[in-house]
This record gives sequence, structure tokens and C-alpha cells, in this order.
Amino acid sequence: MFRKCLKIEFSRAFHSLSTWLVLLVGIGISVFHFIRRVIPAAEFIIDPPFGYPASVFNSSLMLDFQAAENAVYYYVIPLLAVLPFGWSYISDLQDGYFKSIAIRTDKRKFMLAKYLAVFVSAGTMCMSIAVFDLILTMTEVAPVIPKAGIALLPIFGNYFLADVYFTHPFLYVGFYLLMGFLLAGGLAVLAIAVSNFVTNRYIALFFPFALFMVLHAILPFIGLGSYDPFQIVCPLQYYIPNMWTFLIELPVLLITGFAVYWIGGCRRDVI
Amino acid sequence: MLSRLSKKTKRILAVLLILCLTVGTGIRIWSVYSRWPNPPEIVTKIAEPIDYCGLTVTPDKVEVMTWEEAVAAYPVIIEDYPDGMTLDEIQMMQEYNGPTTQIFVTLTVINPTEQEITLPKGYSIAYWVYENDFEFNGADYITFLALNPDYTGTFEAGESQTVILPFSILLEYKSKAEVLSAASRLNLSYYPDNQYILFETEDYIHED
Repeated sequence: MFRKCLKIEFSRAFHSLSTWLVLLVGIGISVFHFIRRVIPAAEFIIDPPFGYPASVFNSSLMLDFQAAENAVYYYVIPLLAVLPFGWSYISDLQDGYFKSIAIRTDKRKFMLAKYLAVFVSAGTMCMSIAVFDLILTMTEVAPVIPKAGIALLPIFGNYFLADVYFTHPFLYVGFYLLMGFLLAGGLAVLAIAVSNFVTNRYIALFFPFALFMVLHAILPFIGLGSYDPFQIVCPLQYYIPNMWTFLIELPVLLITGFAVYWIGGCRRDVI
Repeated sequence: MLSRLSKKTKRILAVLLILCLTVGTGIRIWSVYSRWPNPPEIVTKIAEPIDYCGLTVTPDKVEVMTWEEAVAAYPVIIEDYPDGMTLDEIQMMQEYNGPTTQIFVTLTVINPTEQEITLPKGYSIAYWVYENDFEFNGADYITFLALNPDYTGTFEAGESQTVILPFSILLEYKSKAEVLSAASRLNLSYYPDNQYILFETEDYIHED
């Protein structure tokens, strides 16, 4: 039964109109960035011996530190994460879908399937935009390995994982894609967790975005900029994160979201 | 017309379309990469002569010092600053942000040819970039001129000149001990090839 629930929930998540809307918005940001920033960068003539060609590792949407599109993309991630399927739980609770499933089968199986579908669809949709942009950028700009001294890079020697960026840049990008996947998934789960306590679906939809923005505004202000959740997902490191940002903050978000969702759902009366 | 096709035909067409897109994108990515490949690294070590724009350049020594040690070793670096300025004020003026660790690279530059050589625009030795474990800086130009008053970028036939390149790295990023514990590079070029002099930790001259 769990496999059937899983199949249905994944199918609902990846075939919803809002999922395609998220993809469309993301691809729109990426294509706009490509036309406005990547094509001119690729045509820039380098001046030896100290000139350096544009690289994927300073021109793609993820790593273009001079592009407004980068900020737009990372700021809307909490919204893009919730849109594919984060709305579904509150909708299921309100239109009776949850009840009709729960009286036919073990509701915990349904809840687990829902959790996985929400988490995976959010992470996949948000990060597939970055992956699409990487591929699109590579059709104009080569993945030339970054050299610290050329000074046209988003990362400096004292940054977190700088050694990985300068020696294995694809690994650096991969790390932030994974972190982005987990954060987007975690934020979407937060939306379904909040759905247990509110009746207005817009509150559930906007809660992760509001929390993200509040933390992003307050933490740097009180000197904890490296713990800003924006630093988990954005590889540009406006405030240099440390290992604890990833080892503590991310698991706290993931565990809290899951626990609130699970306990709230299990306590819910269905009859 | 598409609606008349069977489900199987549609699926085959979709797979073919994805395949064509993938292959086309792959070819495009490969052609871009072939045009701008990673620069090959040309590495030389201390005391090994390098041919640079027709000149023979030999890196003789690399010294790592604190700011106070640098002033004691090369008092000329503070001579052009106004009287009454403290060492800290001069250092702040030099690097703007705070105290630094100083690195001095001494080179012997020889013109082995029988004609005068002038370094082309952009190829001055003063433009070389120092990197220590991904921290980097160019030479401080005022200090460079103080240390090398005769340097013009033009070398007479058979002339030999000693050139000292001064670099600084903010103490906040690298202390003297941290600089000494990592290998460093002096980059002569980045593209189309990355030519650099590699200084191993045992090459550093320093006082403790």
C-alpha cells in the first residue's frame, strides 16, 4: 500500500500545473541571465598574460556574483520550493482527500509518502533550474578551472571550501546543489508542517518564505550572518558560513519540519 | 497531425528529440571547451632560470617577514612616507585594511641578447601575482619603486639587474607562520598558459 501511495503522491507532485510553473519561472530567470550576462561574457576578449577567459565557475547563475538574477533566484527558492507540492497537504486536509485515504489505509503510510513526494519534488524542481543553467552556460562558456589570483571570482582564499572551489570546482558546485536540494526540501516540508495548525493555505505557502527572509534579515544584523540560511544555499558566501552552519542548522530544519508534520498529522482525528 | 500518431510513435519521436538535443548540446559544450581549455601549467622552481620576453630571470630567494622585520631589513620602503608617520600608519596606508605579512622575492634579470629589450605593455615584472594557498596579491607599486629605483622595464644588451618584488598579505588572512607553512606561487602568466615559480616551504628565508 505504501508503494501505491508513494506512486500516487509522486505522480501528483510531478504532474501538477504549479510544478511546471516553477520550472517555467526558473528557466525564465536562467535564460534572461544567459542573454544578459553569459553571452557578453563569452564574447569578452582576453588580454594575455593576466587576462582570463570567462568560466562557468564565475558566469553561471549560481556563481555570477555581479548578476541580480543570482539574488532573485536564491531569494525566490523558498517560494519555488513550496509551489510544486507544498500546498497539497493543506488542500488534502480541507477537501477531504486526507480523510478518505486515512480511513482506507494506515494514515502514517500516506503521510510518509506525502513527506517524500513534497521533499523530493521541491528539491528537484529548485535545483534542476541551477543544473539547467549550468548546462546552458556551458554552451557558451567553458568550465575553465578558476585561478585564485585572477581576482574576477566570487570566492576568495579565506572562504568556506575555497580549496575545493580552486581545485575541484565541479565538486564545489555539487556540494551547493546538494545543500540547495536539502534546504528546498526542508522548506517545503515546513509548509506541510504548518498546514497542521492553520486553515488559510496562503499562510502555509508563505510561511517558509517569511521565515527565510526574517532570518536572512535578522541574523546578519545581530552578528550571526554566517548562520543565515541564505548562506546554506547560495555558493557566493556573502557571509562566510562555517561547518556548523551546515551540520547544525540544516538538520535542525529537517528534523523540526518532519517532527512537527508527523506529530501534527498523527494526532489529527480523521473520523 | 500529432494526434493521429500512435502512443508508441510519439514516444519514439520524443526519445529521438531528447537524443538529438543531448548530442547537439554535448557537441556545443565540447567545441566551447576546445576553444578555451584549461591552461597548461609551466612550473619552475627557485634558482631555475626562466626565459621571459627574451630576458633570463632567475628567482634567487623568497623572504617572509612581519612588517617590523621588513622595515628593519629594507628601511628604504618607508623612506618616501612623510616624517612623523608611525610604522602602523604607513602599513595601514599601504594595505588600507590592517597589519600584513610581508613577502619579498629577489630575482636576477639578465638580458642575454645583444640588443636592448623593453618589456611589452602588460608584461612588466611588477605585474606578477603572488599566491599563497589561494590568498593572493600583486606587488605594492610604491614599495616596488622604492626597492627598485633603477627599474624602467628596459634592459640594455648584456645588462644584469636585481629586482625585488614586495608582496603583502593581510595578517587577518595569513600570519607569517601560516605563510611559511604553505607552498606559494609567483605567477608570470595565467592564460593561455599558467606559468609560475613554485616556492616550497623549505625555500622560504625567515627569522624566528
